Amino acid sequence: MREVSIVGFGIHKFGRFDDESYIDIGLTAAKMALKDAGMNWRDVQVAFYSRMYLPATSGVRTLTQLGRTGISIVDVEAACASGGAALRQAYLAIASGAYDNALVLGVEKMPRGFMDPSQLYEDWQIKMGLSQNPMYWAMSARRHMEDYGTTVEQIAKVAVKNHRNSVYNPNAMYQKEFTLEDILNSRIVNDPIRLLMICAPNEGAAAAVLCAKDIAHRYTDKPIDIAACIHKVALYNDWRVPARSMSARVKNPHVTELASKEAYEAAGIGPEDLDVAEVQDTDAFIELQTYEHLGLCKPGEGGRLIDEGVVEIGAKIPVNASGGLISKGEPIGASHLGQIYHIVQQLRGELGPTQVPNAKVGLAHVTGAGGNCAVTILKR
Amino acid sequence: MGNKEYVAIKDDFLSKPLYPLGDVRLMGSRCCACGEVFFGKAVACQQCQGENMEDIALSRYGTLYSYTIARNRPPGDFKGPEPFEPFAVGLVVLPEGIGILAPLKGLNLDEIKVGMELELSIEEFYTDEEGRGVLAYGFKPRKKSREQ
Repeated sequence: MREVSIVGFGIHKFGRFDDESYIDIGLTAAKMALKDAGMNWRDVQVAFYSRMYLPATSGVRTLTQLGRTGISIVDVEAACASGGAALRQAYLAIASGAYDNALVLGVEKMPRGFMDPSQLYEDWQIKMGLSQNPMYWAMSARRHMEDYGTTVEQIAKVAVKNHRNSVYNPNAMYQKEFTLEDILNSRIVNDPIRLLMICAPNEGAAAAVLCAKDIAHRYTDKPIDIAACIHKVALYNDWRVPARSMSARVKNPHVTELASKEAYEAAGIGPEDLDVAEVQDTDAFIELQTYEHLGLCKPGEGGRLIDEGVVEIGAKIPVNASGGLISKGEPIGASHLGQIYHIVQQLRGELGPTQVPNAKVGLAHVTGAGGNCAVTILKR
Repeated sequence: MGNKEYVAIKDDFLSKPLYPLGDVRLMGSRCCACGEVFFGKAVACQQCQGENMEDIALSRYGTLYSYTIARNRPPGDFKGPEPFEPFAVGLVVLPEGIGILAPLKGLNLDEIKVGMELELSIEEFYTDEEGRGVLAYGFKPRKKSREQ
Protein backbone atom coordinates (compact mmCIF):
# COMPACT_ATOMS: atom_id res chain seq x y z
CA MET A 1 0.00 0.00 0.00
CA ARG A 2 1.27 3.48 -0.88
CA GLU A 3 1.26 6.32 1.63
CA VAL A 4 -1.27 9.09 0.97
CA SER A 5 -1.13 12.83 1.68
CA ILE A 6 -3.59 15.72 1.73
CA VAL A 7 -2.21 18.50 -0.47
CA GLY A 8 -5.16 20.86 -0.73
CA PHE A 9 -8.15 21.83 1.35
CA GLY A 10 -11.25 23.96 0.84
CA ILE A 11 -14.33 24.83 2.84
CA HIS A 12 -17.66 26.57 2.50
CA LYS A 13 -18.78 28.07 5.82
CA PHE A 14 -21.34 25.98 7.74
CA GLY A 15 -24.69 27.70 8.30
CA ARG A 16 -27.83 28.61 6.34
CA PHE A 17 -27.53 29.95 2.81
CA ASP A 18 -30.91 30.50 1.18
CA ASP A 19 -29.42 32.02 -1.96
CA GLU A 20 -27.06 29.15 -2.72
CA SER A 21 -27.86 25.69 -4.08
CA TYR A 22 -25.98 22.61 -2.92
CA ILE A 23 -24.10 22.83 -6.22
CA ASP A 24 -22.98 26.41 -5.44
CA ILE A 25 -21.93 25.44 -1.92
CA GLY A 26 -20.03 22.37 -3.11
CA LEU A 27 -18.24 24.20 -5.92
CA THR A 28 -16.95 26.86 -3.50
CA ALA A 29 -15.19 24.21 -1.40
CA ALA A 30 -14.00 22.15 -4.41
CA LYS A 31 -12.48 25.14 -6.22
CA MET A 32 -10.76 26.35 -3.05
CA ALA A 33 -9.25 22.89 -2.48
CA LEU A 34 -8.00 22.62 -6.07
CA LYS A 35 -6.51 26.13 -5.84
CA ASP A 36 -4.86 25.28 -2.52
CA ALA A 37 -3.23 22.24 -4.16
CA GLY A 38 -2.40 24.14 -7.34
CA MET A 39 -4.17 21.37 -9.26
CA ASN A 40 -6.44 21.73 -12.28
CA TRP A 41 -9.79 19.93 -12.35
CA ARG A 42 -8.78 18.30 -15.66
CA ASP A 43 -5.95 16.52 -13.79
CA VAL A 44 -8.14 15.02 -11.04
CA GLN A 45 -8.34 11.24 -11.56
CA VAL A 46 -11.30 10.22 -9.36
CA ALA A 47 -13.79 11.95 -7.04
CA PHE A 48 -15.86 10.82 -4.06
CA TYR A 49 -18.77 12.98 -2.88
CA SER A 50 -20.31 12.51 0.55
CA ARG A 51 -23.86 13.64 1.33
CA MET A 52 -27.00 12.31 2.99
CA TYR A 53 -29.93 14.62 2.24
CA LEU A 54 -29.18 15.46 -1.41
CA PRO A 55 -30.70 13.99 -4.58
CA ALA A 56 -29.38 11.18 -6.77
CA THR A 57 -25.92 11.54 -8.28
CA SER A 58 -25.30 14.92 -6.60
CA GLY A 59 -21.57 14.48 -7.08
CA VAL A 60 -21.87 14.34 -10.86
CA ARG A 61 -24.33 17.24 -10.87
CA THR A 62 -21.93 19.36 -8.81
CA LEU A 63 -18.48 18.51 -10.14
CA THR A 64 -19.26 18.30 -13.87
CA GLN A 65 -20.00 22.04 -13.66
CA LEU A 66 -16.19 22.30 -13.74
CA GLY A 67 -16.12 20.36 -17.00
CA ARG A 68 -16.85 16.80 -18.12
CA THR A 69 -13.57 14.91 -18.03
CA GLY A 70 -15.05 11.42 -17.93
CA ILE A 71 -13.62 10.47 -14.51
CA SER A 72 -15.49 8.33 -11.97
CA ILE A 73 -17.52 10.49 -9.55
CA VAL A 74 -19.28 8.48 -6.84
CA ASP A 75 -21.72 9.58 -4.12
CA VAL A 76 -21.07 8.04 -0.69
CA GLU A 77 -23.56 7.90 2.18
CA ALA A 78 -22.91 6.56 5.68
CA ALA A 79 -25.06 8.84 7.86
CA CYS A 80 -22.97 11.08 10.17
CA ALA A 81 -19.83 9.23 9.01
CA SER A 82 -20.44 9.92 5.30
CA GLY A 83 -17.39 12.19 4.99
CA GLY A 84 -15.17 9.58 6.62
CA ALA A 85 -16.46 6.84 4.33
CA ALA A 86 -15.78 9.03 1.25
CA LEU A 87 -12.31 10.00 2.49
CA ARG A 88 -11.54 6.31 3.03
CA GLN A 89 -12.60 5.45 -0.53
CA ALA A 90 -10.25 8.12 -1.89
CA TYR A 91 -7.46 7.02 0.46
CA LEU A 92 -7.81 3.36 -0.64
CA ALA A 93 -8.03 4.35 -4.31
CA ILE A 94 -4.59 5.97 -4.07
CA ALA A 95 -3.03 3.59 -1.53
CA SER A 96 -3.90 0.64 -3.80
CA GLY A 97 -2.07 2.22 -6.72
CA ALA A 98 -5.19 2.47 -8.87
CA TYR A 99 -4.99 6.29 -8.92
CA ASP A 100 -2.35 8.91 -8.10
CA ASN A 101 -4.77 11.58 -6.88
CA ALA A 102 -8.38 12.05 -5.81
CA LEU A 103 -10.80 14.79 -4.83
CA VAL A 104 -13.09 14.27 -1.83
CA LEU A 105 -16.01 16.66 -1.49
CA GLY A 106 -18.57 16.60 1.34
CA VAL A 107 -21.69 18.70 0.82
CA GLU A 108 -24.98 19.09 2.61
CA LYS A 109 -28.03 21.30 2.34
CA MET A 110 -30.52 20.01 4.85
CA PRO A 111 -34.18 21.06 4.83
CA ARG A 112 -35.13 23.67 7.42
CA GLY A 113 -37.26 22.70 10.40
CA PHE A 114 -37.62 19.12 11.55
CA MET A 115 -35.53 16.58 9.69
CA ASP A 116 -37.71 14.16 7.71
CA PRO A 117 -37.93 11.21 10.14
CA SER A 118 -38.50 8.66 7.34
CA GLN A 119 -34.81 9.04 6.39
CA LEU A 120 -33.90 7.17 9.58
CA TYR A 121 -37.03 5.63 11.10
CA GLU A 122 -39.63 3.06 10.13
CA ASP A 123 -43.28 4.01 9.81
CA TRP A 124 -44.33 2.45 13.16
CA GLN A 125 -41.53 4.29 15.01
CA ILE A 126 -42.72 7.61 13.59
CA LYS A 127 -46.36 6.86 14.52
CA MET A 128 -45.35 5.92 18.10
CA GLY A 129 -43.15 9.01 18.44
CA LEU A 130 -39.90 7.05 18.91
CA SER A 131 -38.40 9.16 16.13
CA GLN A 132 -36.46 11.96 17.83
CA ASN A 133 -32.68 11.46 17.60
CA PRO A 134 -31.97 13.27 20.90
CA MET A 135 -34.13 10.69 22.72
CA TYR A 136 -31.47 8.08 22.08
CA TRP A 137 -28.65 10.45 23.10
CA ALA A 138 -30.58 11.35 26.27
CA MET A 139 -31.14 7.74 27.34
CA SER A 140 -27.47 6.97 26.75
CA ALA A 141 -26.55 9.97 28.93
CA ARG A 142 -29.02 9.02 31.67
CA ARG A 143 -27.54 5.53 31.91
CA HIS A 144 -23.98 6.90 32.08
CA MET A 145 -25.10 9.19 34.93
CA GLU A 146 -26.58 6.15 36.68
CA ASP A 147 -23.52 3.93 36.14
CA TYR A 148 -20.73 6.43 36.81
CA GLY A 149 -22.23 9.40 38.63
CA THR A 150 -21.71 11.70 35.64
CA THR A 151 -23.57 14.98 36.23
CA VAL A 152 -25.63 17.29 34.02
CA GLU A 153 -23.12 20.04 34.91
CA GLN A 154 -20.28 17.95 33.45
CA ILE A 155 -22.27 17.44 30.24
CA ALA A 156 -23.00 21.18 30.13
CA LYS A 157 -19.29 21.99 30.55
CA VAL A 158 -18.60 20.29 27.20
CA ALA A 159 -21.05 22.71 25.57
CA VAL A 160 -19.48 25.68 27.40
CA LYS A 161 -16.03 24.67 26.10
CA ASN A 162 -17.12 24.16 22.48
CA HIS A 163 -19.18 27.36 22.29
CA ARG A 164 -16.21 29.26 23.79
CA ASN A 165 -13.82 27.81 21.19
CA SER A 166 -16.21 28.68 18.33
CA VAL A 167 -15.63 32.41 18.82
CA TYR A 168 -12.35 32.03 16.88
CA ASN A 169 -13.78 29.95 14.01
CA PRO A 170 -15.09 32.11 11.13
CA ASN A 171 -16.56 29.00 9.46
CA ALA A 172 -18.84 28.16 12.41
CA MET A 173 -22.61 28.77 12.25
CA TYR A 174 -22.68 30.15 15.80
CA GLN A 175 -19.74 32.08 17.23
CA LYS A 176 -21.14 32.86 20.62
CA GLU A 177 -19.94 32.16 24.14
CA PHE A 178 -22.40 30.83 26.73
CA THR A 179 -22.06 30.44 30.50
CA LEU A 180 -22.73 27.20 32.35
CA GLU A 181 -25.97 28.79 33.59
CA ASP A 182 -27.01 29.67 30.03
CA ILE A 183 -26.56 26.03 28.98
CA LEU A 184 -28.32 24.61 32.04
CA ASN A 185 -31.22 27.06 31.69
CA SER A 186 -31.76 26.49 27.96
CA ARG A 187 -34.92 24.66 26.90
CA ILE A 188 -35.11 20.93 27.63
CA VAL A 189 -35.18 18.87 24.43
CA ASN A 190 -35.11 15.35 25.88
CA ASP A 191 -34.20 15.20 29.59
CA PRO A 192 -31.37 15.64 30.55
CA ILE A 193 -30.34 17.05 27.15
CA ARG A 194 -30.99 20.78 26.60
CA LEU A 195 -31.07 22.93 23.50
CA LEU A 196 -27.59 24.48 23.90
CA MET A 197 -26.12 20.97 24.34
CA ILE A 198 -27.07 19.81 20.83
CA CYS A 199 -26.06 20.79 17.31
CA ALA A 200 -28.21 22.10 14.48
CA PRO A 201 -28.53 20.37 11.11
CA ASN A 202 -27.47 22.88 8.46
CA GLU A 203 -25.60 23.50 5.19
CA GLY A 204 -21.97 23.61 4.17
CA ALA A 205 -19.18 21.87 2.31
CA ALA A 206 -15.56 20.84 2.74
CA ALA A 207 -13.14 19.33 0.22
CA ALA A 208 -9.71 17.70 0.24
CA VAL A 209 -7.27 16.94 -2.57
CA LEU A 210 -5.33 13.73 -1.91
CA CYS A 211 -2.34 12.29 -3.71
CA ALA A 212 0.34 9.65 -3.30
CA LYS A 213 2.88 10.87 -0.74
CA ASP A 214 5.81 10.46 -3.14
CA ILE A 215 4.37 13.11 -5.48
CA ALA A 216 2.96 15.46 -2.79
CA HIS A 217 5.90 17.88 -3.18
CA ARG A 218 4.57 18.76 -6.65
CA TYR A 219 1.57 20.44 -5.04
CA THR A 220 2.58 21.75 -1.61
CA ASP A 221 5.52 22.17 0.73
CA LYS A 222 3.26 21.37 3.68
CA PRO A 223 1.72 17.95 2.91
CA ILE A 224 -0.35 16.36 5.68
CA ASP A 225 -0.15 12.57 5.77
CA ILE A 226 -3.15 10.32 6.29
CA ALA A 227 -1.80 7.91 8.92
CA ALA A 228 -5.13 6.07 9.17
CA CYS A 229 -8.65 6.39 7.77
CA ILE A 230 -11.14 3.85 9.13
CA HIS A 231 -14.88 3.44 8.65
CA LYS A 232 -16.77 0.81 10.63
CA VAL A 233 -20.34 -0.13 11.54
CA ALA A 234 -21.27 -1.01 15.13
CA LEU A 235 -21.59 -4.57 16.38
CA TYR A 236 -24.89 -5.58 17.94
CA ASN A 237 -25.95 -3.62 20.98
CA ASP A 238 -25.42 0.07 21.35
CA TRP A 239 -27.59 3.20 21.57
CA ARG A 240 -27.58 3.78 17.84
CA VAL A 241 -30.47 5.57 16.18
CA PRO A 242 -32.96 3.99 15.39
CA ALA A 243 -32.66 1.14 17.93
CA ARG A 244 -35.85 -0.74 18.76
CA SER A 245 -34.26 -2.94 21.44
CA MET A 246 -30.89 -3.70 23.00
CA SER A 247 -29.27 -6.77 24.44
CA ALA A 248 -29.02 -7.01 28.22
CA ARG A 249 -26.75 -10.08 27.85
CA VAL A 250 -23.86 -9.15 25.55
CA LYS A 251 -21.54 -6.16 25.93
CA ASN A 252 -19.70 -5.59 22.66
CA PRO A 253 -17.17 -2.74 22.40
CA HIS A 254 -18.59 0.57 21.15
CA VAL A 255 -17.97 1.22 17.46
CA THR A 256 -15.73 4.20 18.36
CA GLU A 257 -13.53 1.82 20.38
CA LEU A 258 -13.35 -0.57 17.42
CA ALA A 259 -12.61 2.13 14.84
CA SER A 260 -10.07 4.03 16.96
CA LYS A 261 -8.23 0.82 17.88
CA GLU A 262 -7.83 0.00 14.19
CA ALA A 263 -6.79 3.58 13.46
CA TYR A 264 -4.18 3.70 16.26
CA GLU A 265 -2.71 0.39 15.04
CA ALA A 266 -2.56 1.58 11.42
CA ALA A 267 -0.90 4.84 12.50
CA GLY A 268 1.45 3.10 14.92
CA ILE A 269 0.46 5.43 17.77
CA GLY A 270 -1.70 5.44 20.91
CA PRO A 271 -4.15 8.00 22.29
CA GLU A 272 -1.33 9.49 24.40
CA ASP A 273 0.41 10.60 21.19
CA LEU A 274 -2.44 12.85 20.00
CA ASP A 275 -1.87 16.62 20.06
CA VAL A 276 -5.43 17.58 19.06
CA ALA A 277 -8.77 15.89 18.33
CA GLU A 278 -12.09 16.77 16.71
CA VAL A 279 -14.88 14.43 17.83
CA GLN A 280 -18.62 13.92 17.29
CA ASP A 281 -20.53 16.32 19.51
CA THR A 282 -24.02 16.22 18.02
CA ASP A 283 -24.84 16.34 21.72
CA ALA A 284 -22.52 17.33 24.54
CA PHE A 285 -22.81 13.95 26.27
CA ILE A 286 -21.49 11.92 23.36
CA GLU A 287 -18.31 13.99 23.34
CA LEU A 288 -17.77 13.16 26.99
CA GLN A 289 -18.34 9.46 26.31
CA THR A 290 -16.08 9.60 23.25
CA TYR A 291 -13.14 10.60 25.51
CA GLU A 292 -13.58 7.15 27.03
CA HIS A 293 -14.07 5.29 23.76
CA LEU A 294 -10.99 6.91 22.18
CA GLY A 295 -8.91 5.89 25.20
CA LEU A 296 -8.24 9.46 26.38
CA CYS A 297 -9.40 8.22 29.81
CA LYS A 298 -10.80 5.08 31.41
CA PRO A 299 -14.50 4.06 31.12
CA GLY A 300 -16.62 6.32 33.34
CA GLU A 301 -13.98 9.04 33.64
CA GLY A 302 -15.27 11.36 30.89
CA GLY A 303 -16.79 13.67 33.48
CA ARG A 304 -13.51 13.90 35.37
CA LEU A 305 -11.67 14.79 32.16
CA ILE A 306 -13.90 17.80 31.50
CA ASP A 307 -13.74 18.83 35.19
CA GLU A 308 -9.93 18.78 35.10
CA GLY A 309 -9.79 20.81 31.90
CA VAL A 310 -7.63 18.22 30.12
CA VAL A 311 -9.53 18.77 26.85
CA GLU A 312 -9.26 22.59 26.83
CA ILE A 313 -7.05 24.58 24.46
CA GLY A 314 -3.64 24.87 26.10
CA ALA A 315 -4.09 21.62 28.06
CA LYS A 316 -2.96 18.04 27.35
CA ILE A 317 -5.37 17.10 24.55
CA PRO A 318 -7.59 19.89 23.20
CA VAL A 319 -10.87 18.42 21.89
CA ASN A 320 -13.07 20.34 19.46
CA ALA A 321 -10.88 23.43 19.45
CA SER A 322 -12.83 24.37 16.29
CA GLY A 323 -15.99 24.79 18.38
CA GLY A 324 -17.26 21.33 17.41
CA LEU A 325 -20.53 20.53 15.68
CA ILE A 326 -22.36 22.19 18.59
CA SER A 327 -21.25 25.56 17.23
CA LYS A 328 -20.51 24.75 13.59
CA GLY A 329 -23.73 22.84 13.00
CA GLU A 330 -23.80 19.43 11.32
CA PRO A 331 -24.05 19.45 7.53
CA ILE A 332 -23.95 15.67 7.61
CA GLY A 333 -22.09 14.92 4.38
CA ALA A 334 -19.50 17.60 5.15
CA SER A 335 -19.03 17.28 8.91
CA HIS A 336 -16.05 14.87 8.98
CA LEU A 337 -14.23 16.80 6.24
CA GLY A 338 -14.86 19.98 8.25
CA GLN A 339 -13.11 18.31 11.18
CA ILE A 340 -10.27 17.29 8.86
CA TYR A 341 -9.98 20.94 7.76
CA HIS A 342 -9.45 22.04 11.35
CA ILE A 343 -6.84 19.33 11.96
CA VAL A 344 -5.04 20.24 8.70
CA GLN A 345 -4.94 23.88 9.87
CA GLN A 346 -3.61 22.79 13.26
CA LEU A 347 -0.85 20.68 11.70
CA ARG A 348 0.06 23.44 9.22
CA GLY A 349 0.15 25.93 12.12
CA GLU A 350 -2.35 28.30 10.48
CA LEU A 351 -4.65 29.10 13.40
CA GLY A 352 -4.78 32.00 15.85
CA PRO A 353 -5.85 31.67 19.50
CA THR A 354 -6.98 28.06 18.97
CA GLN A 355 -3.62 26.92 17.58
CA VAL A 356 -2.07 24.00 19.48
CA PRO A 357 1.68 24.84 19.53
CA ASN A 358 3.76 22.50 17.39
CA ALA A 359 0.85 20.09 16.73
CA LYS A 360 2.11 17.02 14.88
CA VAL A 361 -0.68 14.40 15.21
CA GLY A 362 -4.44 14.95 15.11
CA LEU A 363 -7.52 12.73 15.13
CA ALA A 364 -11.00 13.29 13.70
CA HIS A 365 -14.00 11.19 14.75
CA VAL A 366 -17.64 10.96 13.69
CA THR A 367 -20.36 8.48 14.60
CA GLY A 368 -24.10 8.34 14.10
CA ALA A 369 -27.16 6.60 12.76
CA GLY A 370 -26.97 2.89 12.05
CA GLY A 371 -23.78 2.67 14.13
CA ASN A 372 -21.66 4.29 11.39
CA CYS A 373 -18.31 5.56 12.66
CA ALA A 374 -15.18 7.00 11.05
CA VAL A 375 -11.80 7.79 12.62
CA THR A 376 -9.04 9.54 10.68
CA ILE A 377 -5.55 10.23 12.02
CA LEU A 378 -3.43 12.89 10.32
CA LYS A 379 0.30 13.53 10.81
CA ARG A 380 2.84 16.00 9.52
CA MET B 1 -64.50 -6.35 21.73
CA GLY B 2 -67.71 -5.52 19.88
CA ASN B 3 -67.36 -5.48 16.10
CA LYS B 4 -64.13 -3.54 16.05
CA GLU B 5 -61.20 -5.15 14.34
CA TYR B 6 -57.68 -4.74 15.76
CA VAL B 7 -54.30 -4.66 14.03
CA ALA B 8 -50.82 -4.44 15.57
CA ILE B 9 -48.75 -1.32 14.91
CA LYS B 10 -46.13 -3.75 13.61
CA ASP B 11 -47.47 -7.20 12.86
CA ASP B 12 -44.55 -9.28 14.17
CA PHE B 13 -44.34 -7.43 17.51
CA LEU B 14 -47.58 -8.74 19.09
CA SER B 15 -48.90 -12.24 19.81
CA LYS B 16 -52.18 -13.42 18.22
CA PRO B 17 -55.07 -13.24 18.77
CA LEU B 18 -55.15 -9.49 19.46
CA TYR B 19 -57.96 -9.85 22.03
CA PRO B 20 -58.51 -9.79 24.89
CA LEU B 21 -55.87 -7.07 25.14
CA GLY B 22 -54.73 -8.34 28.55
CA ASP B 23 -53.55 -11.61 26.98
CA VAL B 24 -51.48 -10.02 24.19
CA ARG B 25 -47.71 -10.41 24.61
CA LEU B 26 -44.67 -8.95 22.88
CA MET B 27 -43.06 -11.39 20.46
CA GLY B 28 -39.37 -12.02 19.93
CA SER B 29 -36.94 -14.28 18.10
CA ARG B 30 -34.35 -16.37 19.93
CA CYS B 31 -31.17 -17.58 18.31
CA CYS B 32 -31.02 -21.38 18.62
CA ALA B 33 -27.20 -21.23 18.54
CA CYS B 34 -26.24 -18.52 21.05
CA GLY B 35 -29.53 -17.80 22.83
CA GLU B 36 -29.58 -14.07 22.03
CA VAL B 37 -33.14 -12.67 21.92
CA PHE B 38 -34.42 -9.99 19.52
CA PHE B 39 -37.63 -7.96 19.45
CA GLY B 40 -39.96 -8.98 16.62
CA LYS B 41 -39.13 -11.34 13.79
CA ALA B 42 -35.39 -11.63 13.13
CA VAL B 43 -34.17 -13.50 10.03
CA ALA B 44 -30.73 -14.04 11.57
CA CYS B 45 -28.88 -13.44 14.83
CA GLN B 46 -27.18 -10.03 14.92
CA GLN B 47 -24.72 -11.34 17.49
CA CYS B 48 -23.53 -14.70 16.03
CA GLN B 49 -25.07 -14.56 12.51
CA GLY B 50 -26.88 -17.87 13.14
CA GLU B 51 -29.87 -18.35 10.86
CA ASN B 52 -31.84 -20.76 13.02
CA MET B 53 -34.27 -18.55 14.96
CA GLU B 54 -37.33 -19.50 17.04
CA ASP B 55 -40.35 -17.34 17.90
CA ILE B 56 -40.90 -16.70 21.60
CA ALA B 57 -43.43 -14.70 23.61
CA LEU B 58 -41.57 -12.19 25.80
CA SER B 59 -42.17 -11.67 29.52
CA ARG B 60 -44.75 -9.18 30.64
CA TYR B 61 -42.58 -7.70 33.41
CA GLY B 62 -39.32 -5.79 33.35
CA THR B 63 -37.18 -3.09 34.96
CA LEU B 64 -36.30 0.38 33.70
CA TYR B 65 -32.70 0.66 32.40
CA SER B 66 -32.83 4.28 31.19
CA TYR B 67 -35.39 6.87 30.12
CA THR B 68 -36.03 10.32 28.73
CA ILE B 69 -39.01 12.58 28.13
CA ALA B 70 -40.24 13.79 24.75
CA ARG B 71 -40.91 17.47 25.47
CA ASN B 72 -41.72 18.34 21.87
CA ARG B 73 -44.14 16.83 19.40
CA PRO B 74 -42.28 14.21 17.34
CA PRO B 75 -41.96 15.11 13.65
CA GLY B 76 -43.98 13.50 10.87
CA ASP B 77 -47.05 11.27 11.20
CA PHE B 78 -47.10 10.98 15.01
CA LYS B 79 -50.36 9.36 16.18
CA GLY B 80 -50.27 10.28 19.87
CA PRO B 81 -52.97 12.31 21.63
CA GLU B 82 -53.78 15.84 20.41
CA PRO B 83 -53.03 18.38 21.66
CA PHE B 84 -49.54 17.02 22.27
CA GLU B 85 -48.64 16.12 25.85
CA PRO B 86 -45.02 15.38 26.87
CA PHE B 87 -44.48 11.64 27.30
CA ALA B 88 -41.77 9.37 28.67
CA VAL B 89 -39.79 6.77 26.73
CA GLY B 90 -37.58 4.14 28.31
CA LEU B 91 -35.55 1.02 27.75
CA VAL B 92 -37.20 -1.79 29.68
CA VAL B 93 -35.09 -4.88 30.43
CA LEU B 94 -36.97 -8.21 30.39
CA PRO B 95 -35.83 -11.47 32.04
CA GLU B 96 -34.98 -12.92 28.58
CA GLY B 97 -32.00 -10.54 28.49
CA ILE B 98 -33.43 -7.99 26.09
CA GLY B 99 -34.26 -4.33 26.60
CA ILE B 100 -37.30 -2.99 24.72
CA LEU B 101 -37.51 0.68 23.76
CA ALA B 102 -41.07 1.72 24.62
CA PRO B 103 -43.28 4.59 25.74
CA LEU B 104 -43.87 4.64 29.51
CA LYS B 105 -47.52 4.93 30.54
CA GLY B 106 -49.58 5.70 33.62
CA LEU B 107 -46.93 7.50 35.61
CA ASN B 108 -45.94 10.97 36.71
CA LEU B 109 -43.08 12.30 34.58
CA ASP B 110 -41.18 13.44 37.69
CA GLU B 111 -41.50 10.10 39.47
CA ILE B 112 -39.59 7.98 36.95
CA LYS B 113 -36.59 6.14 38.40
CA VAL B 114 -34.01 3.90 36.77
CA GLY B 115 -34.59 0.40 38.17
CA MET B 116 -38.35 0.80 38.71
CA GLU B 117 -40.48 -2.27 38.02
CA LEU B 118 -42.77 -2.11 35.03
CA GLU B 119 -45.35 -4.24 33.27
CA LEU B 120 -46.51 -4.48 29.66
CA SER B 121 -49.41 -2.31 28.56
CA ILE B 122 -51.15 -3.04 25.24
CA GLU B 123 -53.51 -0.23 24.23
CA GLU B 124 -55.50 0.93 21.26
CA PHE B 125 -53.31 3.81 20.09
CA TYR B 126 -55.36 5.22 17.20
CA THR B 127 -57.98 4.22 14.62
CA ASP B 128 -56.66 3.67 11.10
CA GLU B 129 -58.30 4.77 7.82
CA GLU B 130 -60.21 1.48 7.62
CA GLY B 131 -61.72 1.97 11.07
CA ARG B 132 -59.51 -0.65 12.73
CA GLY B 133 -58.03 -0.12 16.18
CA VAL B 134 -54.24 -0.03 15.94
CA LEU B 135 -52.64 -1.62 19.00
CA ALA B 136 -49.34 -0.28 20.33
CA TYR B 137 -47.20 -1.37 23.27
CA GLY B 138 -45.85 0.45 26.27
CA PHE B 139 -44.89 -0.23 29.87
CA LYS B 140 -46.60 1.03 33.03
CA PRO B 141 -45.66 0.78 36.73
CA ARG B 142 -46.04 -2.81 37.94
CA LYS B 143 -49.00 -3.37 40.23
CA LYS B 144 -48.06 -4.74 43.64
CA SER B 145 -49.55 -8.21 44.15
CA ARG B 146 -51.77 -7.16 47.07
CA GLU B 147 -53.54 -4.72 44.74
CA GLN B 148 -54.24 -7.37 42.11
